[in-house]
Amino acid sequence: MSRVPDHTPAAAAVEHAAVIAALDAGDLAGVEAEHAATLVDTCPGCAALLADLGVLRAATAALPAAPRTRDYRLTDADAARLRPSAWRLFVGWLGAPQSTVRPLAGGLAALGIAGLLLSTTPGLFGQSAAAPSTMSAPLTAPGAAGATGGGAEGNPEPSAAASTAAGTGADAAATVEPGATSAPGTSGSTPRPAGVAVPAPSPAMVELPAPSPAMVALPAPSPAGVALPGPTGLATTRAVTGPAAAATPGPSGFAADAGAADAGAPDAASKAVPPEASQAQRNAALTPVSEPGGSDRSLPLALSLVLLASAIGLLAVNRLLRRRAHA
Amino acid sequence: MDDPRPRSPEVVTRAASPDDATARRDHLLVERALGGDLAAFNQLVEAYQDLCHSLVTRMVPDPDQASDAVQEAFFSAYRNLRSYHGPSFRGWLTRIAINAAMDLQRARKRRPVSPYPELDDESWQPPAGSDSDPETIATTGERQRVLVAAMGAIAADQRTAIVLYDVEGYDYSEIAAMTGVSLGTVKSRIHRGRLALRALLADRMELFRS
Repeated sequence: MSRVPDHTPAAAAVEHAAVIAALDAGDLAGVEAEHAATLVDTCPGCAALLADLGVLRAATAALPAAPRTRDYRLTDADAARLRPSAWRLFVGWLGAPQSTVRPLAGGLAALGIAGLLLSTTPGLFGQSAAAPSTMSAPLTAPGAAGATGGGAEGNPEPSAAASTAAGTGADAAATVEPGATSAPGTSGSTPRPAGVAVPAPSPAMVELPAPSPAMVALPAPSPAGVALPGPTGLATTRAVTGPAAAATPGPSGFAADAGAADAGAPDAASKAVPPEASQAQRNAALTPVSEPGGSDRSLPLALSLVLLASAIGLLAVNRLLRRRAHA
Repeated sequence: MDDPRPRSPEVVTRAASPDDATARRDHLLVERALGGDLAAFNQLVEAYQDLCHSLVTRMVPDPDQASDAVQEAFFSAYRNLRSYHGPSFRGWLTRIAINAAMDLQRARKRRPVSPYPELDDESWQPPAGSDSDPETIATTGERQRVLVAAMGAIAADQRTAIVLYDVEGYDYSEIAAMTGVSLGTVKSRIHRGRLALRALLADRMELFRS
């Protein structure tokens, strides 16, 4: 059963008002315009609505405005009050769609990223930023190979015998045979990073009475080193008086290390400290306060982060202000 | 008088097409106003205050509020003169006035007041036409009064669209740009506004038909 269209004006106003209004405004074309025209032809209410809309449109266009009763010119006081302050100018610059905020932020971000890359790339500031010094030290210690002598090459851990000796303290060190200090494969050949990340003196070393200058020169990098140097012996003498003194705290860390003496491995830290210096002075000289280049990297790293944060902040403020202005 | 704002010649250069005398005048006045010449800005105010007033009073039924909106529009124009990018100072100022009127209507929506105080004030009558026939004058006055009342009763966004389209003569795209809505929304507001007017004036349509 088909529904009979209700052509009363009220129903037409509900059902076809939008179509008639669009037709009155001239917004319909093609099939829609034909459909609206059919409505006007067949529906008296639609025709009346169309006529009324036309009348109202003409009356609205002819509607006079109320006369102006105020002069809107600005006074000097108004102008002074409305002048933008420096802060307002700055905020306006930040929020302007065509200001230099975005290019500036882009430049800052590029600088920040470049700074981050440069400050974290190995080799650009003297040393790898990521590699710990204890890993690079064996590669950079020239005296290490010579100091190790033979069987203990590449063995960074002290031997069990040396550990035992270290645990016995000074007495144990004194009881070690002098010949054992130069014997390859013993604790005397234990490699140790030279000049880099030298640990603080072990308790065993601290407790040593420092009986001889050679003993004083020891950085005591490992417990094994404590036990090795005897109070007397040829190697000890050579270490103190000869050129091996320069290599005393070298890779092996032993003044009595003949291998180190022969290799003549230079160590700037130990060269800078006179033999008669105290243990604390030597430790201070040998123990780096920080990694070489570490402070050099931190500054560009911080600057890069600041640049990146500034760029992000500028962009965020620009977007926020533009959104507010648009709203 | 000190220069309150830095001059931006490139902005002013884009402001006007050189073949338009009004635009050239506006261009020069804007440039002088940017240089701190308040008199130049006041010349612009004198040139456009009637236009802004007539536009805003049609959008805002309350004459006092309409005057406040127009004044605020000129304040805003002076405050933001540096952001004027042309090409027409008239269009730029009209947009500011429309925004001021819309802001005021939003504020009225939040704080409702008497919707049409001039209806209670019998001393206010829309100006009659040039016809001196008393009956015609009375009919015209009554027609305008009821139409103004009906305009004040429809939704503000519909009234704004109708005023801009039917009275001010802007096209759909201009109105869409001015009011920040889509073109379809502008059409819909105009259609619905006219239908609302017709519904409000259904009992008084004889006034208009005659």
